[in-house]
Amino acid sequence: MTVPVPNGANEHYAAAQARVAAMAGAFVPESQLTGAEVRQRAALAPVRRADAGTLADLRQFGKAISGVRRSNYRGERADAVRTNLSRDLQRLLDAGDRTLWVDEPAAFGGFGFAGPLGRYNEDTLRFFTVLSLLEEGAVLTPFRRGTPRPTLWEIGGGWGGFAHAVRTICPLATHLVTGSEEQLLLSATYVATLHPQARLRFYDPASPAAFWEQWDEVDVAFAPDGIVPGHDAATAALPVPRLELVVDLGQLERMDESRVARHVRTAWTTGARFILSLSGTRDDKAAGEPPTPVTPVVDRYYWRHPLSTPKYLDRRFVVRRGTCLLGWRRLHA
Amino acid sequence: MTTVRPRIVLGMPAYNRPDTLPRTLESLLTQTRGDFALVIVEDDPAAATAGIVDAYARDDARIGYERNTTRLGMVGNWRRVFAIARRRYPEAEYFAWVSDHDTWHPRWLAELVAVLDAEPAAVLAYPRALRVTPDDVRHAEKAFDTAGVRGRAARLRRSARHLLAGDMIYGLMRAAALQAAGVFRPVVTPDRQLLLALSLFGEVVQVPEVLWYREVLREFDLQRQRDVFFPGGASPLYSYLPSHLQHSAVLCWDFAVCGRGRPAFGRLAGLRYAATQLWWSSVRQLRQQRKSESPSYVPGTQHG
Repeated sequence: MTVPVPNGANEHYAAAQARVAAMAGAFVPESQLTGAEVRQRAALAPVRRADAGTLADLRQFGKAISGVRRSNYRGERADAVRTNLSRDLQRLLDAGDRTLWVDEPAAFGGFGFAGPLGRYNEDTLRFFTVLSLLEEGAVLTPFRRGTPRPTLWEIGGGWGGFAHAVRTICPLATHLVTGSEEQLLLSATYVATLHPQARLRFYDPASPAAFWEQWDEVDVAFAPDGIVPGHDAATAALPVPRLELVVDLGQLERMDESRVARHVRTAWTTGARFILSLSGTRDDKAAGEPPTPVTPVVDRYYWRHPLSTPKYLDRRFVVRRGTCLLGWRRLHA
Repeated sequence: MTTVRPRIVLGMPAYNRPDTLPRTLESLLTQTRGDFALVIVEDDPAAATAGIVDAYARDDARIGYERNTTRLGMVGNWRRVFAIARRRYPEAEYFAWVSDHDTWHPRWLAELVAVLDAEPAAVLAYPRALRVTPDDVRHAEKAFDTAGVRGRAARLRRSARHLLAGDMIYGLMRAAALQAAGVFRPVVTPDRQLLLALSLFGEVVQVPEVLWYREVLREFDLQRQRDVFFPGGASPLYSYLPSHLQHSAVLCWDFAVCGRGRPAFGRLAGLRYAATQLWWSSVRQLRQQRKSESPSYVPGTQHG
């Protein structure tokens, strides 16, 4: 079955492609990437020059980011996956705030099972879990209030699903996405198409300081991982707004320790009150290449929020695999 | 940041918790609302907390620290903390006791101040809490407030039946109302007694967000409380009377005999309130006793 290209997607993709291309040179050189990052980039490579068929089916690339396979949602494996997911979904909905639910859109080849609140898959549940945890930790309140306008920094950006969820639930917040060329292209196209009224901003290496000016006028901003404030001496002096929350949905553990430390230290330096990091939740670990431990780095800069207790996470949020770490900023690091 | 005349004073009656103090202090010092002073009074003369406090006080003039030369016990130290706060910052509008082992959300103080600023009839604002044990957390499910209850007797009645003393006592209070209510008295469950008295001076508002993470190491135990309140085995005989009798006696003395409710209310009203408290607290005690004798009873009910 041919999946149609969503309305406006061609234009948004072309615009994102041009803006991301202009960032060339500002991305982290491939020589500094880990094997996991290189493999991820290779899996996402078709996004760089997407034809109509690729553009219409961008969701297929989610597998390279979160490990969620569309093939698990049809055929022989679907029944077992559905049984487990529907049980988890029910537990999350029974205890949670349904206003935080954002279902999987059909656009770009969206997939999943039909649930009480719409289409869903493992990514959908993950986003609902993260938002629910943030709500219970009273972290989401400033984002829902929007005054003063808070900023959420998402490390990696993924395929745009989390940015879409946040944009839907918290339209009065600014969402900063940093990542690789492919991640920015993928997430920018996705978000721009689903939120055509959103005010987007793309980093321009020709005027780095301008990226951070009039920040309140930005809904979603995209920048290379390499311009993370504090990344080097050149970026240290930039007028970066204070971040309220930093979210890592599994990208940090793909990086090497020095870059993990740089991201977390930057989060702390910019005053981010909270950090949330998921690690160890995917199945795509390459043999002989364990993921980088993120928790010890986060612990140096952030106190663990009581909600990060494994027993509670398992009982309330069905987090059985990996680590879900919510931290609040230490005064001294 | 230097706050010469803070609107808010946080009083910490400490008892030798060097393991938790750094995290606790940081959760207070990183509040989004910074116009407060923090008064710490250490009740363990041998405690190793001075160095920890000094490390933070060096960079933050909001912190004041004293150590008692002899142990006062919990009641004595809570009273001393408040007395020092009032002496140093007589113009501060709001006061809250804070423990040396819990943590607070960065918006805790801002949210509670916003409530008291917006509701002149409120004398106490407190948030929902998370109970934190060594390996788990539980939400405190019960809710209580007297928002919109204008009559003193009605507020007292409702408080006697349902208040959540253990959580409310750590809320943000109007300092003047707290002073009028009598601070902390040498009775068992003095937090409950104080909150009952406070209900006569204004309303209680509960903020519906979980903004306080409360360490819970053990269930409530009355004998342990006596040992902590009256150190050195000096529990007075009256402390073995039912708590609601002790509380009623204090209310009667303060408001019916000494007339401390003036100008808000007179002695006759004070007598009536003491009787109201006695009646409804007795009803509550009876119900709790029946519940504990029921075959389906699960121990560990939060004391309130």
